[in-house]
Amino acid sequence: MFRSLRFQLFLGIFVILLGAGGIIMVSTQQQMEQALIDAENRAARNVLNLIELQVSNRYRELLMEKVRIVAERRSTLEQMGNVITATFQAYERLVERGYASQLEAQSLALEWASRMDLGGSADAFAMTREGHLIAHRDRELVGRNLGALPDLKGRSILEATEEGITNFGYAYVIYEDEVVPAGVDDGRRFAYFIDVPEFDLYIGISDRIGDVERYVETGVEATIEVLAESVGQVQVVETGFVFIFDRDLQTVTSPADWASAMVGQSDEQTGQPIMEMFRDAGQSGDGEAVHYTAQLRGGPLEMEAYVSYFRPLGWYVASTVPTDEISAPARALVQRQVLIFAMVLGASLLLAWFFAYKITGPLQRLAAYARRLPTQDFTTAGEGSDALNRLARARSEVGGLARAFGFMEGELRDNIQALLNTTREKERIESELNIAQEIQRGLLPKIFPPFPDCPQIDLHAALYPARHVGGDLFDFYFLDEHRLLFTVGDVADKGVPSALFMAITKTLVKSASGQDADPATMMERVNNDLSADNPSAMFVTLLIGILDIRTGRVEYVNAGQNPPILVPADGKDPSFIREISGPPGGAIEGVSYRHLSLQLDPGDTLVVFTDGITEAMNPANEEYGNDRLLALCGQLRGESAEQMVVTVVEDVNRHSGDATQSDDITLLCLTWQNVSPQAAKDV
Amino acid sequence: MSDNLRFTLERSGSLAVVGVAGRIDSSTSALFEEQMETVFAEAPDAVVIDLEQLDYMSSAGLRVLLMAAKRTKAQGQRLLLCGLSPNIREVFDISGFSAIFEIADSRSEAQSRAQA
Repeated sequence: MFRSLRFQLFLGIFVILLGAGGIIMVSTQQQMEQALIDAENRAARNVLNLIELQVSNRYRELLMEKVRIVAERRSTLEQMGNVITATFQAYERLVERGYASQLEAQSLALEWASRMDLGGSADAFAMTREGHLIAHRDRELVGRNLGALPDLKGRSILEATEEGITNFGYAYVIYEDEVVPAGVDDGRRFAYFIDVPEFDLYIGISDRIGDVERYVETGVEATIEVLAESVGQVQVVETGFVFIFDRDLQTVTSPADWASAMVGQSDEQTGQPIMEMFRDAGQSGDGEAVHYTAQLRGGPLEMEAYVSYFRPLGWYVASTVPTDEISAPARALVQRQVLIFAMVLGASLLLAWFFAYKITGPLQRLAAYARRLPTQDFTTAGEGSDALNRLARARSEVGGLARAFGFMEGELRDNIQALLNTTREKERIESELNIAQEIQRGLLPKIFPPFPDCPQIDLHAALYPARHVGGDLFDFYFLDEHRLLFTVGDVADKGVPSALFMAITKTLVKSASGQDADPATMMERVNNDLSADNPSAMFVTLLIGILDIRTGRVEYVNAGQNPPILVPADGKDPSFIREISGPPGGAIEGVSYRHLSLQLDPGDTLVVFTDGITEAMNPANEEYGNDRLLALCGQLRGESAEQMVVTVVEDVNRHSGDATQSDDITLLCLTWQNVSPQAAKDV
Repeated sequence: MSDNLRFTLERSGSLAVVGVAGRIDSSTSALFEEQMETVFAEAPDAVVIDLEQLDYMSSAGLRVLLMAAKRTKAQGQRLLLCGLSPNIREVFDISGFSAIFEIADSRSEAQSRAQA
C-alpha cells in the first residue's frame, strides 16, 4: 500500500502542504510575536513617557510657584530694607544738621529698628561688621554672633554678606538658624543684607522659608496622591502595572496588589534585588527591558519591566508586566492559524486523495482486469471487458494503456485459437500415430521366451522406433517341426511411410515363406512384389534365415542388411558375416539373390541388427560403431539371448545420452544348442 | 539450405555435375531430393554426383539416389557416382547398392565416362 502510486502522490501533496504551512506558520509566529512584543514595549514606554511628562509638568508648575513666592518675599524684604535705609538716613541727617550727636542718632535708629514689627515671621536686625547682633526685635538675641553661622553653601553668614555687598551692594543668604521659636520645626531662613556705612553696620531682614518649602512639599504630596491614583489605574496588557519609587528604593506609589510582594524579592536568576535591578536600568537610561523572575502567583513568574528615572524628584517610574502576557496574543493568533491550517490541510488532503484516486483508480482497474485475464476462456471470441472499453475511451496515457491491453487480449485470443487448432490437429495425428504404433507392435512377436518347449534355441529380439512408428521389423516362426524362420529388416528412412512399407514387407515375407522353403527364392518374390509399383523408390534391407534346429545349419539371404555377428561358443573372437545376396528389396525389380548358408556350432550365437545400433549418435555426433558392438558381443558370450539384447540396448542408450534417437533400433539374438528334444526333457 | 547439407552444381553441355557435402539423413534427404529435381529440370544427358565431401549417408539418402537411378534409367540418361569415401563405400557395399550404381573413382573419370 505504501509503495502504491496513489499513496506516493498523496504523500507528495501532503509533504508539500505541510512544508509550506509549517514555513508560513513558523515565520508568521516569529514576526507576529516580535511585532506584538514591539507594540507592547512601545505601549509600556509610552505609559512611562506620559507619566514622566505628567510628573515633570506638575513639578515645573510647583517650581514656578515656588519661584514666584520667593520673588514676592524677596521684593517685600527689599522694600523693608529700603524703608529702614531711608529711616537710618533720616537719623543721619539729624546728625548732619546738629540736632543730635552721632551716638544719639545711632542709638535712636537702633531703638527704632528693634521696635519695628514687620508682621508674620519676618525680622529686622542690625549686625556689626564683626557679625554681632546689636539690634533685634527679640532683645535677648542682641549680642549674638550671627555672622559666624554657616549659610547653606557652607560659608559663614558674614563672609557671604561681605561678598554680596562688595559685588552687588546687597546680599541674599540662606541659613539654618539654631534658635527656633516655639511651634516652628524648620529653622531655615532667608536673609537680605544691606550696608549702612553711616553707622558702620549691616541691616538684615530675614524671613522663614520653611513655609515656602512646605508649600512645595504640600504640592508634591498632592501630586503624588493624584499620581498614585492615576498610576494605579494604568493597566499594561492584562495585569501589568506602573509604579514609582524613589532613590532610596522606597515605593512612592505601590505596585498592583497581586505583585506587591516583589518589592522585597530578589531575581531568581541573578540573585540581585529586583528593586536594585530597576534602579540600575533607570540610571542607565537606555530604554532596554529588564527581565526578571519573581515569586508571584504561587510560583516563579517571568516578568519584564521598563524603568525611567525622573531626576528632579529622584523618582523611578517602572512599568512591568508578565512576559507571557506579551507573547500571549501572538500565541493565540498562531493557535488560530494552526487550527485554520489544519482544516485547510484536511480539506486539501481529501482533495488530494480524490485526485490520486482519479489518477490511480483506472490503473487499479487495469491491474484487476489483467489479473482476471488468465481466468478467462480464450477459446471463445472475446467481447472485451466493459471496464476496459470505458477506460480505452480516455485520451490519457491510461487510455493508451487500456487500448494496448485490449489489443493484447485480442491477439492473445487469436493466437490461442490458432494454437488450439494446431494442438487439436496435433492431438488427432498423435492419437492416430498412437493407434498406428499399437497396430505396428501387434505385427511383431511379443511373447518371450517364444519357444519354451524347444531347448535347442534361445531367441530374443527388441525393436525401438525413433518415432511413433518405424520402418524396422523382425519376425520368427517355425516353418515346420524342425525349421525356424527368422527375419530382420530395415525400410529406408523412417516414420509413417516406412511403417507402411514395413507392414507390407512383413506380410510379403510371411506369404512367400508359405510357398517355398528356399530363402533366396523367397527374397526374389518379395523383391519383385515390392518393386512392382514403387514410384517413391522405397526399399527394405532384409535378412531372411532358416535354422534347422537339429543340425544348426542356417540357410539365409542378406539383401543389403547390416552383416550379422557370429559369436562362437568356442571362445574365438566374434566376427561379421559379410557376404551379401543382393540389393535391398524394392530397389531393382527382377534381381536374383545369392543363396548363403552358415553352420552353427552348439552354443554359437547369431546377432542380427539394424544400422540404428551402429549409427546411434551421441551428442558429439559420434557413432556407436561396429567395433564397440563387436567387443560388447564378445563380452556377452555365454549370456542368455535376452541378457544380450538388454545389455546391448542399454549400452547404446548410454552412448546416445541426451541425443535424440535418430533411427529405429532392432536387435535379434539367436543361440543354438545341440540337444535332442528327448534329452531336453530329461534335463 | 541447411548447414548440414550443401550442394554445388556445374553444367557443361548436357552434363550436370552435382557436388554434395555434409550429411544426408532423414532430416536432410528432402533437400537432396529437391536438389536432384533442380538438376533433372534441365534434362541433362548425364549426371555425375560427386560424394567426395559427403560425411554420412543414411538409407533415406540411398532412397533419393535410387530414385535418381530409376529416373535416369527410364529416360535413357546416365548417372554416375564418384568420390565415395571408405565409409560411404561400405554403406554401398553392405546394402548391395554398389551393384546398382555406376561408380567412378574420381570426378574426372566420371566426367569422361559420362561423355563417352
